[in-house]
Amino acid sequence: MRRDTGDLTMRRSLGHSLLLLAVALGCGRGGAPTPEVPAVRTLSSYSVYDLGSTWRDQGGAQRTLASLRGKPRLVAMIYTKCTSVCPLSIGELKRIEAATDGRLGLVLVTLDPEHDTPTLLAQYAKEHDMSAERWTLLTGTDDDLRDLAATLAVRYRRVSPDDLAHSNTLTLLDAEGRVVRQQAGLADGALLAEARTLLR
Amino acid sequence: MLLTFAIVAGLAIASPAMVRIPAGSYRPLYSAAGEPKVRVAAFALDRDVVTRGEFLRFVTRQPAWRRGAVRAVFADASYLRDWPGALEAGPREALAQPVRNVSWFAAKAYCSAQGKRLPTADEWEYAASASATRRDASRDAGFRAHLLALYASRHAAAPLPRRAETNAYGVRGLHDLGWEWTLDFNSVVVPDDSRAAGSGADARDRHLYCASAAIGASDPTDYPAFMRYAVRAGLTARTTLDGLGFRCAATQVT
Repeated sequence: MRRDTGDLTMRRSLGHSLLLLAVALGCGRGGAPTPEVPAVRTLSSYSVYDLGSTWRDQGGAQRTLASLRGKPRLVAMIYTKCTSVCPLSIGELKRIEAATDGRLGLVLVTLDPEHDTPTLLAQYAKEHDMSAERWTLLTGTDDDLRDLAATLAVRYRRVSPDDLAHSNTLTLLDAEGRVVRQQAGLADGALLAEARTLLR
Repeated sequence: MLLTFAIVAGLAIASPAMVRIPAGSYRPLYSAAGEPKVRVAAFALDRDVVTRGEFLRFVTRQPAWRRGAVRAVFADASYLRDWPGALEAGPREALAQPVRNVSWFAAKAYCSAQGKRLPTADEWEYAASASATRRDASRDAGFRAHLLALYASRHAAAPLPRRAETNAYGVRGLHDLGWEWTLDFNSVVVPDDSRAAGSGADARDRHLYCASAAIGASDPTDYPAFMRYAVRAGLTARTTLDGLGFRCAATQVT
């Protein structure tokens, strides 16, 4: 995989691609789930904020992605009805929030914009004790959601009115919105270490 | 069956021929035993893949999608790398060739400019399960063998065969080019219960590419379909590849 260009999964040849895919997905290994997004150690060349879409936050205000510039942020895509993986992700984010003295921005983007209105997001934030100063909860259009999820390599699909299958990916962005690290599953010490480096 | 589309979106770009695909159902590669087939509503699909010449007209009108100008978040460094210049798509004969090395964002923007959209993976797979003579050739061993031979002989950068194959719907070259973008390439492909233990979708998706887990597939012998699903799973929205092009679809079937 070429890292120099900063592409998360740049591949040129198909055979190579399939091989890498098999490796990245941990084919042939049983046991613990393997991250589907390999950890990225170098900065992406592009800013996720360049997508240019406009969202609404838990206060009901219009927010461009560009308005998130200025400090490093950790992004997760969740939905409020999610009762399985999302609470674990939230717990993880809160641990990281505490371990970074609250200086890291935390962004939750809903995968269920139809249900998760700004009002519901505000309620969710309150229930989980997320201060508006540090936490940004965003809802948007289906199209903008698809673009952002595709950019962050988050895969999702509605499986029932109440349930979405989705990959559980945390993305660490620098102050400009470039991807510093992605991790599937729960964060390990490396993600926290990099967040601290960014905040230095 | 074949109809020329007049898209009422106030766009001056002449729309190439589209083919009406009637509603029906199909069985995706990954569906649990006993699970009903996936319903696909009627839609229209471009008869042919988008060509370099067509894409050149698009970037001529929309400078933001030219090579060198496109935002890095929308396409990787090899975007349109086989073109001689930002507004040069090659010699005359190259203009009729499929455009390749386009990202998902660029393909989406192109279709949108025509008043169309990318087909969903379900739509694409449904249309692509037709052989030259049968609309549902998904259990046709001869068709399967034919596709296997075709996939094995394809080369990413090779020109499209002079006569792309026309399937029973009248769609051409669905299996000739290589790979084609779908709107929901980043969908989780197994539509079963997401509340499984562990990290749900992650854990199941991983199985898709392991031979030992082919038992999860509705038809483990459908190797061409395995390849298509695996390729989609390896893409990101800004990926560009020599063997990856696209065609557009439309919901409105007029």
